[in-house]
Amino acid sequence: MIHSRLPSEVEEVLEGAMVAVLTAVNQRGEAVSHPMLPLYDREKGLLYFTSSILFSKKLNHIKRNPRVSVLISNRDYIRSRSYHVVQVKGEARVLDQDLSSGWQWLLPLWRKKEPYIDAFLKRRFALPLFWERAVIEVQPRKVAVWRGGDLDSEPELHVLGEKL
Amino acid sequence: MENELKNFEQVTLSFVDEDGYPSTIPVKVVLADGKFTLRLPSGVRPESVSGKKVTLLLNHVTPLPTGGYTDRRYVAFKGVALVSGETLEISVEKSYSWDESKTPFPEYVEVSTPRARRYLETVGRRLGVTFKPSLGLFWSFFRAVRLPFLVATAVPVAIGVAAAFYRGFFDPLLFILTLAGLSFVHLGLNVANDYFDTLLGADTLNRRPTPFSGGSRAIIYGILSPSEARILYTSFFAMGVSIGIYLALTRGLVEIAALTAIGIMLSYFYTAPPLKLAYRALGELAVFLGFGPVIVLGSYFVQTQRLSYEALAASIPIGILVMLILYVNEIPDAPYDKQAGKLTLVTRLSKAQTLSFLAISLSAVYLSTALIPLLSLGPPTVLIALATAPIAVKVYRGARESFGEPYSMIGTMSLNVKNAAITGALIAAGYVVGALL
Repeated sequence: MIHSRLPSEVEEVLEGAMVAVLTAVNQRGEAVSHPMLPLYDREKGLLYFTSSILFSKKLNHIKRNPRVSVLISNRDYIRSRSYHVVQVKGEARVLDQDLSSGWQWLLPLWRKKEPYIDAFLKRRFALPLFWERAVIEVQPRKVAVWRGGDLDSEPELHVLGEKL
Repeated sequence: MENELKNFEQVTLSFVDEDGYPSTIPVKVVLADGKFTLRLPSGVRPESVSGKKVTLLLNHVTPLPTGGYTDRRYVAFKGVALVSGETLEISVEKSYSWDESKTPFPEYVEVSTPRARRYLETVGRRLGVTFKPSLGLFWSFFRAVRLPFLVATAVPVAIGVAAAFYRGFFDPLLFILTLAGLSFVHLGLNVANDYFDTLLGADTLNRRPTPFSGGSRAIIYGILSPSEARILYTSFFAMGVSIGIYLALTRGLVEIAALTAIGIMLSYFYTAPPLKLAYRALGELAVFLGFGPVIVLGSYFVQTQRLSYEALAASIPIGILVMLILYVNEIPDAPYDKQAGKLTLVTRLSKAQTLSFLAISLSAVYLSTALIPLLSLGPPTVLIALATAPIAVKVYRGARESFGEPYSMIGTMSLNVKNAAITGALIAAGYVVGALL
């Protein structure tokens, strides 16, 4: 199915997910995965991650090869009414022109998932390099959805058009 | 590992798919005879993965009801996938992992610091700017100079001035000048200590720094460049010396010049070559002398223009207390100090000896305080400082129970600093009250 944007119930899962597995391709052409906090902007239809420069390998991988996938699975990690296993494939770009504050516009989305984040941010001086962060912006292209988390049934496949 | 599999509730397989995108799918996994056998979800044919390099990620977090997670760990296995009937097998070539119960997050951050610095440099080169961690001027300064530790100067100055007040001398302007001059020297000491400990490797090797140990990390994190650190500590020492010269010229040339010179020498050569006092188990003695007799006698002299046994007696407990701040903070640093050849007292003692020295030193604080009125070297009101003895017992117990565990020792290190500050403040208050009674 070709859509201009993701089905609403899939967006709900992306919004409620506390953990996602972001996979990039390294310089040897191998898939490398990282558990991360996903932030979904429903208005833009884009998926975001922030990555500290302490853990910057993935940023370099994405700069070399922007194709990534994101998996959201495991009911315990998803705070939404409905549950589906969702795999998103898409193109990512790294936004790192302003590592100090260029990611802070994502704080409202981050705060919804981790309300205590402001308390940590106030103590930025304790872990200064942790708060130097790049933004990974993922434009979803292909989405596979295992409804109800049932991995024995065929996944729904959605292809997202340019309108998104 | 077979038993451990159940400790990871999320298992995913990733590989580069036929469409050129990486693909990540949830899988069910069984480990038998050292091989992972995977059951793929519907819609993914084992043949489409066969022969490919794959990453199997086993992930666990425990979500907290208040938000966030604890108990984070993951293991990633890299290898080649091969079809075996309806399932897929992986022959593992390498693996990497993180378990925060084994490598706490702050340590993980610490070992990743060189990578972060490289990334900052790369982005900086691309954009033609020099990036530094953005803390703002105040917090950068706060972190770089270890501002809260100034209490270790303020308290002995207060004791010296209070002892002078007990003898009927008090000039508030001289008090402020003394405090300012000695604070500058202390800030110079802190920055010089960071500069040389980074240069000589003691701080660089430390994987488990805490707010009390392992240095300020200002140079390691890139908050200060080494040359900026050199300028900073030189400026602080210069400001301290300038005030020292003014006080020497107006209050007593020989005594103040001598005390200033000794203070600067002890501060600089605490870590600076060739003396490197801290590297030769002389740092503790240097700190005792510098923060005890030198500061207290100096502060007393500026007010009274004479030296006295009373002021010397007042300097002993606070000298030991500040030395103990250093000593307790050396405990978590000891393995890294040893590696870097910084042979502090703690690195040369066994655990039992280290704790014995701590107990003896803490006892000496209260004994030397009690002796002040007993030897008629001060008012009986200084005995109020004995009230903190229960805190000292807690410091000892805390050090014994969390010995060598940097993050567990944070509470004890904090309590030890508080004990030094409160006990010292009570000694100073004892002199003031003694004068007023």
